[in-house]
Amino acid sequence: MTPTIPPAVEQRYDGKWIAWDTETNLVVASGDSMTQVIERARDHVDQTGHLMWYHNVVKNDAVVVGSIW
Amino acid sequence: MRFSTMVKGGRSRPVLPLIVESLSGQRIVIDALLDTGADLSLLPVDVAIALGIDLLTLPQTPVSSALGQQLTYAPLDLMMELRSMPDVYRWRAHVGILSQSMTYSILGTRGFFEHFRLSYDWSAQLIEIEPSGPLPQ
Repeated sequence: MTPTIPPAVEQRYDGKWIAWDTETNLVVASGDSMTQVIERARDHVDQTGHLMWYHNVVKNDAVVVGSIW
Repeated sequence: MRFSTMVKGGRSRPVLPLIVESLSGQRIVIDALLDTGADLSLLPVDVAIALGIDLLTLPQTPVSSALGQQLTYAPLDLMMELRSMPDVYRWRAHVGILSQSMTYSILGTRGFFEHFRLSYDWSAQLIEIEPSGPLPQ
């Protein structure tokens, strides 16, 4: 498994966190923080047991210095 | 094992999809930034939440960020996995769980570079890693 998120999805969720189901290749939750997305995806995870990718769609103009903000 | 860099908005970064597994077997995938300047590997508190790890039972250790922030982390061992079929690298890593959210998790010296060699070709947008010895299990 080398998960890939399509550019169109990245564009749609610019600046947001998403929960990506690595088995169905679908966004199952989005939000402003990883904690928020984990909570919103919890029911889906409990029901399916699928492996989730919690991914930060970093804003287009963001500069990353280290990674702690 | 070879990965493409993560490209977003014209920027290319050495970010890998890292599978993190608690010792009880819960697994998630997170974005992990390869950071050769980091002394240790750090994951945000959100990862502990997702994996059901109770940080209140762990000691807190002070750490300074490259930008001078004073933070604390909880040290613990987790299983980590990188997959680029047909290869799978799986190892037991000593990491820190930071007491706050992060843009990316960090793979640093402790927990990652102590076990792997890295080739980062920015112009080709490629990352190659290989174990430098037997991976701890």
